[in-house]
Order: sequence, then C-alpha cells, then structure tokens
Amino acid sequence: MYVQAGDAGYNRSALTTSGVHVLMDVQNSPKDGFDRYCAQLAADCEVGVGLSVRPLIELIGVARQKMIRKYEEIFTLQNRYEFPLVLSSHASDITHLKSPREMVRLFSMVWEDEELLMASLGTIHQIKNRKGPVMEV
Amino acid sequence: MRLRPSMRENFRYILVHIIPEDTYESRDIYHAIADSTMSLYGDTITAQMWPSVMQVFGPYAIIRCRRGLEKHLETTLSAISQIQGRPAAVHPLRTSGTIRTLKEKIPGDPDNRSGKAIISGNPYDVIVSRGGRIDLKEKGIYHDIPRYITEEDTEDL
Repeated sequence: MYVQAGDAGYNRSALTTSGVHVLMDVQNSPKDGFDRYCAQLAADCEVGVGLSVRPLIELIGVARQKMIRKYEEIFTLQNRYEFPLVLSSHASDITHLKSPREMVRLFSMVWEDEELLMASLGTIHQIKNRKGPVMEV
Repeated sequence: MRLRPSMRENFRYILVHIIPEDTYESRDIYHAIADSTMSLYGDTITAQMWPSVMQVFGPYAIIRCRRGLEKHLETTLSAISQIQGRPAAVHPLRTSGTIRTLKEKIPGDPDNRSGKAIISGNPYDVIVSRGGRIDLKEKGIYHDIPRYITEEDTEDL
C-alpha cells in the first residue's frame, strides 16, 4: 500500500498505521514534513520512503535544483536512520520507463553511493516480506 | 595540428537505444544531448565532455565522449525526455572503447545481411542490403578506396 505524504503529523500517523508499505512524494511535503522523527519511525516500522526519478528528468533549472536538494536531505536521513528507500520511475508512458542502470545514473546526481542505490531498487521485496509489529490489514 | 598517437585523446563510445523506435537524424540526437548536458552540468562539463553522435542505425546510435566522462554522459542520456519536440527516451545499453565492439552488439538489422569475405587475398566486411546493393569495407585505415566486383564475386558472396 502506497500512501501520499503530507505534513509532519500526517506522515507520523501514516508511518505507524499497520498495512502501509511505502510513503510516497515525501519531497512535496511541507517544510519539516519528513523530519528525523519520521525517519526513525520509518526505520522502526520498515516502511519504505519512495523517491521518483521523474522530477529529476522533467523539471529544469531552479525547480530541479530544489528537487535535488530535497532528495539529498532524504538520502542524508536514510544514511543516518537506515529506513528502506524505494526508487521508482513513476512511468505512465513507455518513454518514462528507465532501466536499473539509468535509475542509478540519475540518482547518482543526488547521492554517490551506487551500492545503496542498487540495493534500493530491490527494497520492495524486503518491505513486502517484513516481520515485526506492523501487520497486514 | 597532428598529434603523436600517444598524445591523442582517448574516447569512450556508448551504444544507445532510442524509444519510440523510429529513424532519427544524428543532428536531432546531438541537439537533444547538448541541451540535456547543458541543463544538467553547464558549460564547463559540456566543453570537457566533447559529446558527439558517431553513427545512427535506425533506433540505435553510437555516442562518443572523452574517457572519464562516460558516466556523466550516461546520466545526460538518461535525462533526455524529448527529441525535436517529440517525447522520447534514450537508453544507454553498453559502453566500450571501440565502435566495432558496439556495432557487434546491435540487434540484427532485418534489412541488411553482413559477413566477411576475402577478395584477391584481402579481408573485407560485407554488408548486403535487401535491395541487392553490396558494400565492401576493407580493414585498415584507407576506407575510401572504391572496389569493383564482378558477377562471379557477387555469387560467391
């Protein structure tokens, strides 16, 4: 189950709700919408944080710079709290589809650790098969 | 200025597949790459990269850049979202130090048959198009010497 991110209170609530697998569009949440407490919750509950490659392709100029900065903040939090990252192409058309190699190349603009990027392409399996306090609805 | 071989630039070549599958002009592909590189990395990296479209085979193309900047070029190619105003994607498939290696990796062109032949003791690459035209490419640096083959040679091919 994918949940669209909102403000900080909403995100905390979503992250602790059973059955939620991935929190999407964190980069679009208001300032401090996804803080270190949310990062800790995501790590504890093994809820993935979804990042889409489409803004990196479709935005240009200052908008893309801002998006890269927001993504970098999320990667920094991931580096500290180690919650699962879910990288996706968000494709709605054949021209939006990206290969793993392209995904790694595009996200390497934001974060240079290619091993983490490759591992993040397979986290859905880990999230789907998680065991712990969060149960399927 | 002619440089000694040891002083010449080293290049890397990237084989790309363009979606949707169509026939593209190398000029259009170059403009898409140049725009994307400028947008992502600015003038400095673009100037250092020397991107260039070497050959286009329908939806496949071979792109050249200076060695060491091939990862930047791959990122640039992945970030292309349109060519000549039409939505398109450029997928980098392989990187190599020679064009020949990449050409061998291009999935078979149904319009052409290729092979090798030895004529008068010299080895040639042969490309036979569906229309019956036969191109011979002699190995070595003198590619432009015209060769004339007889009917008998054609039957051998």
